[in-house]
Amino acid sequence: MSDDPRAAGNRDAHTGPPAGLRRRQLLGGAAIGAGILGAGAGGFGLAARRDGTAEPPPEDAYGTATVPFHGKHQAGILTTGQAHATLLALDLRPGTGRDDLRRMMRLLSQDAARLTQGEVPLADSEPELALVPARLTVTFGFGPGLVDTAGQAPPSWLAALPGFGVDRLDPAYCDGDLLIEVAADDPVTVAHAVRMLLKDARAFTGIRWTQSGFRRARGTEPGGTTMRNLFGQIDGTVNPAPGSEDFDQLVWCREGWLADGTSLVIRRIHMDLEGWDRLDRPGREQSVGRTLGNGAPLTGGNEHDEPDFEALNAQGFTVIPPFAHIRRARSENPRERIVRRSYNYDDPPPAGQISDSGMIFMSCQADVDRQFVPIQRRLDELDLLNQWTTPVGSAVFAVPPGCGADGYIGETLLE
Amino acid sequence: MITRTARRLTAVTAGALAAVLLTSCAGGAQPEPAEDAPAADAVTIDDVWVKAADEGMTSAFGVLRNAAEEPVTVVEVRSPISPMELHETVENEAGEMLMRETTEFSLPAGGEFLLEPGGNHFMLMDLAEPVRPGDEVAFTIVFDDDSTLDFSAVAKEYGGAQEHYVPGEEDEHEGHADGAGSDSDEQHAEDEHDGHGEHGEEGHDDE
Ligand code: HEM
Ligand SMILES: [Cu+2]
Repeated sequence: MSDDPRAAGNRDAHTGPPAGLRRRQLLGGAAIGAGILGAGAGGFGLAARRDGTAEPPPEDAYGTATVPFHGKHQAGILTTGQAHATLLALDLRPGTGRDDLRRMMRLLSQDAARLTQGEVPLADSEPELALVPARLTVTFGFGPGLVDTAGQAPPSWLAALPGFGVDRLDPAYCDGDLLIEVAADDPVTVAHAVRMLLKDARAFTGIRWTQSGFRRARGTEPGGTTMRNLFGQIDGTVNPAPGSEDFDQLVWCREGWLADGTSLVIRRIHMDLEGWDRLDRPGREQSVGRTLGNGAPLTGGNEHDEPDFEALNAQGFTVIPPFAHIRRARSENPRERIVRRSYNYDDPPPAGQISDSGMIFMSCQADVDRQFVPIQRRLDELDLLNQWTTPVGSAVFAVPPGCGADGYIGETLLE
Repeated sequence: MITRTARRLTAVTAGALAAVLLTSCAGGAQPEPAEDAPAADAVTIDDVWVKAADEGMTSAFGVLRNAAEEPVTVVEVRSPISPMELHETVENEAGEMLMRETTEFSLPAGGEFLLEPGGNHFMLMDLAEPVRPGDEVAFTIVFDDDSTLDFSAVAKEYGGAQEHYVPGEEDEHEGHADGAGSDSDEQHAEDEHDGHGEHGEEGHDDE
């Protein structure tokens, strides 16, 4: 159930010198090239020393770790959440056509392929910044406008979500034609990749919105620890495990150009930290139905134990209250489930306040209307957490399948 | 993406074969096929890209690698979309870096030759059509033995490699495209502060 990198991450994260630390376009090449080879030559971890103890991993092991870019599915969906993520929502320039989309997606795919492997992309004016991949993934999503421009009918769920009573949406954080999610365990890596990709996209698009989020830095907690949000809650416990049959059924689309792709819902949800401050620990735990300490259900046990939604307390009320977030978020229908991969945000506060924080809620599901919308409807009707949380941004994207080494993301739509 | 032609291939192969037959019969000294193999066969070019531009001049970059035991010499580069020159970057007496045409690039034996912004490069002197980001541009490198190497390069937006065309130090105010490629002494000043003769370098920066 967990976000365990030992289960999920090792499948897609190779730790060790990236295969492609070849010198590419490095200004003043020879000296830099030698440095890179030197740095990469060490190998990692498995070499046994003469005294029988294992050699410790090099200090830059997290920096050299890579996630494959090419494959059946796009990277970033199965990948254990990295420490930093930036989302870019771009709008196509007027007059952009199918041929332009092809050129753009080729360029973006080529650069994403190199950057994620720690290789310098072509025409990178800061090539040294490309050499720390830190599990970088670049994931592309298409909005309805792009699919339309490509001359295809968007799937029925690829549209703005229905309005919800809790919504206080700011158009500055809604919708978009092209989404690029850039995530890595290092913020400099993210910034550099974002810069390269925006330079590629600039001729075809303008920025609609950007959002940046974070989790704890890699290595600060044991691998597999579920993230905490800025309310202090363990968030992400009940989540289908990447690679499981369950996950595959819930996440991957099966037909047409989206086969082996998925959908991405992005909700920017403001969290009222001042209001939350006024709530004491028992109230906080009741609002979700889980303890803050280890994330266990209020009915006891450990984080990953099943909540007992029927259990009653001495007063005869359910231990997990009717308004608790986890009760409301869980459907009787096992197909109404989603895969969540959220990030915290903590932006400069507006004048006179001391916080502008929240969650960049992201979920993947094969069908937004059948999986995400019913859950959000129930939460809209009743969820005590709504008192302190307000959706301020909303967007839906179709995430096309992955591509091979000679292909590009979006080829199933554009060829 | 890369194709080679070697006009002398047939003759060379026949000659080399004859030499091998002769020497193997005689059990004598090895022939020296390297000297006769077409230069294009020994050379690869990787990481090629061209700077997107709407019009005028632009340049192409990459890494040439020569696997031969002898240096090989590039004498020309061609593209269907523009007259082209081989350019090098040199420092003048005033310490400015200037780009100018050179007659050849010599690729060291078993080594690399970098084409990069601020260094050696292939120069497209006068585009017949815009080079848009993501376009693939065809090129042909010609070696001194007339063998050729074809490749294509992807176009990318790039803020550097600002080629300001200055046809001779005394004559900076002349138009840029006139006589392009006609005079091997013409120079390009790589000087961001020189406002003369700029063209097309920010073709897609339409904010
Ligand atoms: C800022 C807003 C939100 C906060 C702070 C929040 C917090 C939490 C927490 C602490 C849990 C319990 C641990 C876990 O299983 O992850 C949880 C579970 C869950 N949340 Fe949220 N959540 C928020 C918004 C949403 C939204 C918008 C949705 C979907 C529309 C959602 C769907 C779920 C689901 C499906 C579960 C698992 C329920 C189960 O146990 O079956 N959450 N959330
Ligand atoms: Cu030049």
